[in-house]
Amino acid sequence: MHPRRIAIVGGGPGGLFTAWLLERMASRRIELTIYEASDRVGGKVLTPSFHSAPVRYEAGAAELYDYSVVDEDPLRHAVAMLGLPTQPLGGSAVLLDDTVVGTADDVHDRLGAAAHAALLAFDERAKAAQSPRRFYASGFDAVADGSSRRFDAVMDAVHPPAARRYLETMLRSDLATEPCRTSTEYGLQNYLMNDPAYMGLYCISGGNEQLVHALAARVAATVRLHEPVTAIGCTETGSLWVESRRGEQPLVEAFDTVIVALPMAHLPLVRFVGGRLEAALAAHCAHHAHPAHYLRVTILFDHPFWRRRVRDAFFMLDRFGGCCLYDESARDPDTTHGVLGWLIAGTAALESCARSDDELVALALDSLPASLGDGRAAFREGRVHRWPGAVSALPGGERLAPVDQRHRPEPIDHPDLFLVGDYLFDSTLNGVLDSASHVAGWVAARLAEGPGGAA
Amino acid sequence: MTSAPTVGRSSDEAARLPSIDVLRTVAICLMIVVHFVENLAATHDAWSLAMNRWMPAGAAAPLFTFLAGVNYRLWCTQRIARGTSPAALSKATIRRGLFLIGTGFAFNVLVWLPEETFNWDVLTFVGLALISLDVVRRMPVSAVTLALVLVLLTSPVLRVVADYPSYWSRSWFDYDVTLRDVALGCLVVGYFPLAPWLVFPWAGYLATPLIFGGDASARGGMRRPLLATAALGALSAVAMLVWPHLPAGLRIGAADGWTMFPASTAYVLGSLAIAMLSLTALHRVLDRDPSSAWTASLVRWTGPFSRHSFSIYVLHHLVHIWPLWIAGLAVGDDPTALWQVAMPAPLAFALALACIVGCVALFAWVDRARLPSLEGAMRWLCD
Amino acid sequence: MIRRDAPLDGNGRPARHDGSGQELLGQVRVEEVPVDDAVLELVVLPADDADGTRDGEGHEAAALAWVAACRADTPPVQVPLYGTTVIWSPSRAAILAPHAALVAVREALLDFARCDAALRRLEGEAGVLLGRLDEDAPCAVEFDERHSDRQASLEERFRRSVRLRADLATLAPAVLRPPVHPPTLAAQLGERLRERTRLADRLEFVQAKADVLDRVYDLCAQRVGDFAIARRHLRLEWVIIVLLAAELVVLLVEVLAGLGTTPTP
Repeated sequence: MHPRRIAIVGGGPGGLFTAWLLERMASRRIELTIYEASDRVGGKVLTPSFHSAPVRYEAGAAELYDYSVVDEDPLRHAVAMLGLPTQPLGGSAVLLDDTVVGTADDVHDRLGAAAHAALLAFDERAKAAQSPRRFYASGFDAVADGSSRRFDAVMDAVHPPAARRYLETMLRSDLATEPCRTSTEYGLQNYLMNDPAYMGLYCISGGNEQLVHALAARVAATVRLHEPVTAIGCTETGSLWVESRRGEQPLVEAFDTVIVALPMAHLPLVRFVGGRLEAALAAHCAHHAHPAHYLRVTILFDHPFWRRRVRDAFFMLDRFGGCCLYDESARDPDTTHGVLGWLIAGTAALESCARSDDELVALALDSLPASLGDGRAAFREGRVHRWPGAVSALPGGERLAPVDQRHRPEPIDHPDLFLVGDYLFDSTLNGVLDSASHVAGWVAARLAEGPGGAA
Repeated sequence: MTSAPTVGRSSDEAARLPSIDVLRTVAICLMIVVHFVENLAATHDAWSLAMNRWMPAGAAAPLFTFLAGVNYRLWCTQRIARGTSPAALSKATIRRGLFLIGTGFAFNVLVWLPEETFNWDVLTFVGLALISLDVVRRMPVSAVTLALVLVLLTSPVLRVVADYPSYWSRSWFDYDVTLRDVALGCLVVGYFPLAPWLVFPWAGYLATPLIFGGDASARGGMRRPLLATAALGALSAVAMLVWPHLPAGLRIGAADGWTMFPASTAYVLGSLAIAMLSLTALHRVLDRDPSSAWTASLVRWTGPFSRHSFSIYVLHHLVHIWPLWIAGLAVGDDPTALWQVAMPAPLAFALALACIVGCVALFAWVDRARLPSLEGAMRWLCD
Repeated sequence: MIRRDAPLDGNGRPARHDGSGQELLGQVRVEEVPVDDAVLELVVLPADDADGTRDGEGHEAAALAWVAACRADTPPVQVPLYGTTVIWSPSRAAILAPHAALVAVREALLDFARCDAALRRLEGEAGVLLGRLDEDAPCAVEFDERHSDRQASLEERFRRSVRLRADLATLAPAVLRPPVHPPTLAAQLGERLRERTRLADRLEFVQAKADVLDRVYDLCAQRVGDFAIARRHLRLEWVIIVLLAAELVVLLVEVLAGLGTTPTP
């Protein structure tokens, strides 16, 4: 029996997870080919180092979500299976106008009793709307909030303005978009993810990129770097073909199964040939394309001068419309340097993409409150990473398609063409693993059924 | 009857209990005096008759058999502390019991008369009691107590069933050598039948931890044995006082008053009380400081007596019974011709004292010279 | 609580004016607070400005040196949090916090200290009981007359292992309490202290030891119980044997006595 030839388009976390899981689940021999347009696998998971010092920082996905407080967490389990050590992350401080609001006590003392009461009311509302179990299940088979109510309406109901500002600053970088462009449920989830009863945060010791390296090392696949896929279609006999470009040379290869593990923003770059397929993918993109934007500015300092005031692994800053400031050097106890990473999201991120790196680094240094200390005096090096449209999230009123339909857009003529992506769940690494698990399990079941497979 | 009683302490040198030595010596001396007067002078004349009537005839045997039970308990404790297995203990016990029974039968034949072989005298009884103690050793206290009470209560009934008076019409145990008479004699009607004499060694076995369990010098250690003594004494008094007034149908045969043959209920309870009281008091007085000069001197005289009680029992019979038979044959054909009429009671009493003194000297010399004795033979054969 | 008003240096001795930062502690009041079966010496230093920074770094250094001077088996745990610093070791602790937060922080620290002290006590107890396990384990297999002198000690250790388990069950909710959200300073301090001292892990370890003790002493208790029941049954059996024997003897005597009777014509 000849091995089943499977193509995976995209060498990011989605493609690597899918390959890894397929190799574990497949009951017959498979040949995997991974197409990757860039010079590296890993996609949004990137842990580079500074030039001026051997200090690493997270340029993409900076934290992983730990759902094991509620139920099984496949990502946590996968990280453990890969033998990767982890560190917990935590932080509750919000810097508003040079004031550190670290706890609910600080909200009361510095923003006033009314703001404190409003915060508690918002917290209660969020918890009433989403139990930890529902929070855990959201994005899978759960149906999204069917109402057309957007999250900005929820925020508008928060009084006094100080409390609203506090919440907006806290949530902005997680939302990655404006409150008016996302659903109430999604907005509340982004608040509740700060509650340890709902979720925890952690990172991989030594850099999150070790996750994709570990996956790539365990996958016996042919990885074709610098080879973007330009078109996908199927023949009259029903088998699939993939057209890629190696240098200037177009190549077409036939495969039994094709899994497209590309971010939402890159799907339109692939031509899906065939009327039915083209229409299905166009509908798929139209339904899921709600881009959210990120931009990271990471600066290396001589020492972590801000720890006199704040010692959290991350804290929120009321600049750039609200951004998350990561103390990346806290993840490495051996370093004497300080590394701060600005995660700018939404419109501010999109607009900032047009600025130069030096401008952005200067803006970041200016955004530091004076009470934290003088960043310029300790400045060593600054790096910028742009992620426009890197994330998609369904806004309010949109219903999630059934999970099978999300992952196999055209089942009639293309039953062996699948999609994998974090945007099909919750736009996180956990989501991309859920998506990859679903597809890998499906494909493995079809492999077990026989050559033709069930529809 | 057996080797020196010891306290189950951990030291290698066996610590003798002066109280037991003294009490056993008292019992032996009483027994010697009673036997001499009874066998040589009981019916010699009216004065002898009167004197014999007032002899503490029933005092020695209860003491002796009670002490047999006490001694066995202490011996077992000592052996177990030295690591002797239960099986080895049983073997030694049964062998000693059989040795005593065999010696008892031989004694009856050689010292008394062949027709007295199955008179179930004290030697055979102690042998049987020793074997029974091997079983008692394995029983829980409550079961032993129940057995003891049953023996005491059923003895009068058994005497009625077995028709005790028919065996004692001539004031001694008179039986035919038939299975019936031999068996009944062992169980109920003999000189020292199992019912009720088993009460004494069993009670001694049970009372040992009560008397010797606490600190010898502590008053608190005496409370329980004194309470038991008082209870036994009270029950004996009740039996003595109430029994004669019971309706005839309830006064089950020959058990009223203070009689040794048969051993009445009042006699058994009362003499048990006396034995327990004596031992408790002597334990409190003598065992507190065994090394004191007075106690040591007492032990020096009573030790040989206590250690050789078995030999003394046999010897004192030999020295007054055999000459009696020989003298009887000399005056006529019947060796028993001079039995109980050979001499006046005071003379018999004097001879008894002389025998006692002679035994002390003799067995002190036996100990010094490490000469063989019946006790030594038993240890050699049975242990 | 005992009040000792005396200027202290970093070693807990009366301060000298030698120009070092340690004299900055000045007049401090050392509270002796009972925590479980231990005593915690506690120093509370209010911060001087509303912003939470203290009057120089000297106070913190002096407090750290004072806490470290108690020579605990582990170095002091230092938790800085939003202008508050807590320095803790099992027998000494120092709080440096703004006035407004002092009461809440003190309560949070004492709550944690009570949990830690209770857990240390239980760790010690588990260690002692485990040390006796080799001695007692044979009784979990067989318990007979030879072991009857050990019954009292087995009962005592069984009681202690049950007590250990009960104390662990009482302590567990305090150690494993879920984090508070929205977080307060006191709640966060408590959580940080519990994390840094690995309270949850230590609790789990002691629970594992308690599992072993439960298993062994449960078995020992079963064996002792079986032995007591067997002894009771044995007693009953002997009583029955004695009664039957007495009946047999009476029957025997009756039969023997009847052998001698002459039948009437």
